[in-house]
Amino acid sequence: MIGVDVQVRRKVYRGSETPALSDFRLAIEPGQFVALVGPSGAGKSTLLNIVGGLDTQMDGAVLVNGHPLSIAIESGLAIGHMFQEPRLMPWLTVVENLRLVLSENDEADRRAMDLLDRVGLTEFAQAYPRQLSGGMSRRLSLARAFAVDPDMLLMDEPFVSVDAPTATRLRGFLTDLWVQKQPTVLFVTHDLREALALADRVVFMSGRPGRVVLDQPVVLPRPRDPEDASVTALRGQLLSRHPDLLSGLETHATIVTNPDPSTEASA
Amino acid sequence: MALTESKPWVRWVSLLGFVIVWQVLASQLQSPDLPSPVQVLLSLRTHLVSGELPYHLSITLLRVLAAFVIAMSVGAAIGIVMGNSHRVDALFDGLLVLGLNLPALVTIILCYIWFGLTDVAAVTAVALNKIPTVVVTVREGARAVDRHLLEVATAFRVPPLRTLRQVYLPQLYPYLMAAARSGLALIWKIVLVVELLGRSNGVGFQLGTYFQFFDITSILAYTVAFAAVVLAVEAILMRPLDRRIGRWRA
Repeated sequence: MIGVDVQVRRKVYRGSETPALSDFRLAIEPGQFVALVGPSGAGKSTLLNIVGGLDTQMDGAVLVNGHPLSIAIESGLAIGHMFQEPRLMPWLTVVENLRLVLSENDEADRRAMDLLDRVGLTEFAQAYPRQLSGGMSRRLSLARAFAVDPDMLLMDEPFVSVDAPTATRLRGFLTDLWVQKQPTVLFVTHDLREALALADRVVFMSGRPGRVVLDQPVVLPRPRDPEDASVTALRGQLLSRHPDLLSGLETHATIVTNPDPSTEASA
Repeated sequence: MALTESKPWVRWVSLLGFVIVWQVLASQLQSPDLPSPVQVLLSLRTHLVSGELPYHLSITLLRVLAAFVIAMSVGAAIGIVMGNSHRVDALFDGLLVLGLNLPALVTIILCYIWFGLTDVAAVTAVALNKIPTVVVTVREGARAVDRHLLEVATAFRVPPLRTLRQVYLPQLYPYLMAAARSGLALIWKIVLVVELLGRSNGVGFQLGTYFQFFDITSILAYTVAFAAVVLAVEAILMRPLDRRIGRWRA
């Protein structure tokens, strides 16, 4: 299992004046499931790109079990990344899209078909992505993220625009995988119920530039469902204590209790 | 390219119409300057049977092939680098514009003067004429490559060679095909000029010879043979390749 320590002092995109992230600090315990909730533009996707090693143009560091990310990657750290859009190769068939990320061996074919079975896409193995519905593309994208046996799973609003029954099934699939392999998970979502149902810990972010405004442990028994009474109760409790948590974070970030004094200069 | 989906015989209609107009015109004029299609076909048979046409045609085709392979690989490599780096692009853009506009005749003459009247000089001259247009087309493709899909390859540590073959190149295929098509068209034309100016075999050399004798029937017979090869390459190579590459769009 791997622990991840992310420190972004400052991340500014070229041609932009406001930093996307500023004084962001997040330490994830080995095998922990962390949900990241925050308004649009808070830099959540930027953060996933940084943790996934796709974006190194920033002032800060990502440490994996105490080693720099680039070194961890070189020594074989497997990262499963599910982007906000499915990002499938349109010229590869469904099964070829999985084979793309699997290492070349006799097992690869069987493993790809097994994953397709688990996300219910077996009969579409030879289809091209343009023949899939939006929900099916997401399922394939999820299967691809799982295909690499990830030590770390980065997910950017993976179940948005998936119908409710499928989303429930995919959440179950994700929880099963997490229980089995204990990857460290960073899960971005807009949906507080989903965050509370899945995660050990929910981290709330401010509007741009993104920083942590509230770090909430979730100690409800598993398995949980977004519609469970305990989830609803915790959600109600959080929202009554911090009424701006979801809607007004952009403008009232400093109101939310935060042990870090540096955030008080914002808004 | 979408038109290739229509019925296969449609493309022959305009060609057939052209031959009919030619036949009618030739029989009306009855001039030695415009032999009829039938006369040309008879001449073509004579040149084929004598073995002279196959010899010169195959030599020309070899030169086309060599120049094509060199121009495509060098041009594509430069185009990919220029499309990916603003700095390299800025550095070589002026040279590229010069190359695009340099008259073919200048390159041909200079190559013959510097490298002698050899096949190396001939093929080099043709390739040099073609490389800049390949660069421009492929550069456009490299600029249009979807960075998001490349990020997927990076995120999942897909090995470099596999990334090239399954993520990067498929995005360039339409541009490579366009470059190959216009490339062949240009190379056919320039190879003949090169042969006319400095080689003692090949279709260009033969055309020059028949020009001196005002043997228009033979000139047209060679032209027909040449056109047949061009159409065959398009039908046997380019269009099946197009279909294969575009399969996922169907």
